[in-house]
Amino acid sequence: MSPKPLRWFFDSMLGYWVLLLAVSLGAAAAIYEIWLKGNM
Amino acid sequence: MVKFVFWALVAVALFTVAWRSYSTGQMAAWYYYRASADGFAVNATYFVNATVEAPALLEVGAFERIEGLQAVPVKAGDRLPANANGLILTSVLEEGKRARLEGEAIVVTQPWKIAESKGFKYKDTFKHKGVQTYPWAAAWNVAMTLGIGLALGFMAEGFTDLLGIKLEKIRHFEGH
Amino acid sequence: MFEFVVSGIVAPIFLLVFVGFTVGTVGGFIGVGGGYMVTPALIVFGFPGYMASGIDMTHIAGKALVSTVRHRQLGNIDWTLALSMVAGTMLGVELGVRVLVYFKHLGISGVVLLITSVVVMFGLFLYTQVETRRAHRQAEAMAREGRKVGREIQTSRLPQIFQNIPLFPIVRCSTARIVVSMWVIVLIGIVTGFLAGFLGVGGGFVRVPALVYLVGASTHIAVGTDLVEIVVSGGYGALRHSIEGHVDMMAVLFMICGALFGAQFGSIATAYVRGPAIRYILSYSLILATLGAVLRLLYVLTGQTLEVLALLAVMLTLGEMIFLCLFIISLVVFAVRHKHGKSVPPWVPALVVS
Repeated sequence: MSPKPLRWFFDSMLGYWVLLLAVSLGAAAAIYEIWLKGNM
Repeated sequence: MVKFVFWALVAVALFTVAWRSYSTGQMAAWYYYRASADGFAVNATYFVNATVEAPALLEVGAFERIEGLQAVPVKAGDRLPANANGLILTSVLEEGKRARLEGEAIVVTQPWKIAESKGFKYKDTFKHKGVQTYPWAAAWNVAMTLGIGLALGFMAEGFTDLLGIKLEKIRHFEGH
Repeated sequence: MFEFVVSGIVAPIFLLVFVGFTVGTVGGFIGVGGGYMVTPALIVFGFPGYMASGIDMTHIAGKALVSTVRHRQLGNIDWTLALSMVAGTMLGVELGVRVLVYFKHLGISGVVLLITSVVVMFGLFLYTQVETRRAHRQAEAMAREGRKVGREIQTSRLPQIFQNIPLFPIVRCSTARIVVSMWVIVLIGIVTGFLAGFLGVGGGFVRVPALVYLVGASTHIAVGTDLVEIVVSGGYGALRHSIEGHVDMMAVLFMICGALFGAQFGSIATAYVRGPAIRYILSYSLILATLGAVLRLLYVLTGQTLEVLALLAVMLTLGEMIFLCLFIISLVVFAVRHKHGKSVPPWVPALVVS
């Protein structure tokens, strides 16, 4: 498997932005699932 | 070392004052201080699940402390009874959609409605309605917040000094 | 879980401390209050809408003060600039709020205001992003040529226009090394305050770009100086909100506990980076906030039927705070790695200080 696509997430600022956003939205989804579902 | 200890003590003292205000009920008493309009003081938490089919019946009386399904008539400017957290305003009773007066009881059929703020929905209950806080509580809030902010700020500065971390002024114009 | 007697709800302490930490980090780094992230988060946690703003505004005042102390130590505050702006800012906010009330009486809908704030935030994002990329490329070119790259690189020509306005009295801002008419500073304070009061968009994210691109302050100084403004306007807002009964002090205090660590980290992080790095994070916060506002707008325009839009708006609000915090942490980690000669992504060296 070529490492090139994965490298884009670090070598390019946009790629890093996308990576962090994905992680953050995932964390937000987890917080929502664990604590906030009942409230909405 | 002195800086850290001093400001840490100030911060702890301020937090202790705040905690005592909360745990002794003073914070609640200052918040739910007076009625700002005519109506009936209630504790909305007790009847939050009332519905049209199963309405809540609140006994009207001059109670000193609201326990359960009770309502105390108040006029604008009156001190609120203990454990009250909102008013059912006279105007709401006159409208009759959410609650109505029937003899010596108030019948609540719609304890909350959906309201919106900043695009997000929330349940708007009778809590906080018609409540006027103790005027000096506002000054206390601001003084406490700024005092704690200042104490924590200097405590942190003392802490980094203690750890020997040298944080020098940034040279903004280097290389120009 | 903690019982918030004043708000009348039960909510987890962890979430409040967590929000305090993340927003404290972001605020300490880019000089914003973070209200546009915190207020919706508090509503989602269960706080009534009318209390969310008050709790947020009060905690911002405390948190900004924690950041200000650290920024003072780092030399990021120009007190002349800060104090000159305060009166203008307060006047602007008051005007903005009154005009908002007047417009509401006229029946101008929330939709129009939401659209206007989207346009303003997106416009600011575009300008900041474009200018910062130009500055980033210039720094990279200078490094390739072997020239020394300073702490700040800024490519906008606007400050020269504003600094040349000769209206008396002229102030000398010694820390920022700016000589400018007092009226320019006051006017910028009024306009940014007005936008904050009228649109409810944070004062910080209009004021920091204004200080950089109109007054010509360096980004670090704009951040530190803006935080002073936030303490003053936040303190005043906290007083007004408390009088209205919109503040639950226990919620405020839990958030400030988180902010203690966050604000320290965010403020100290500015020492590791160059100006463009801070402006990038600012522009990201602008575009994400714009996206959040667009989602809310779509939700309202579709008659509030598509609940998935509301859910996405919640995820974006929480995700945005975490994203910005993670990016700032990344910049510091990369800066330390670069200083020790370890490998970092190619876009990093021009943004950090070695």
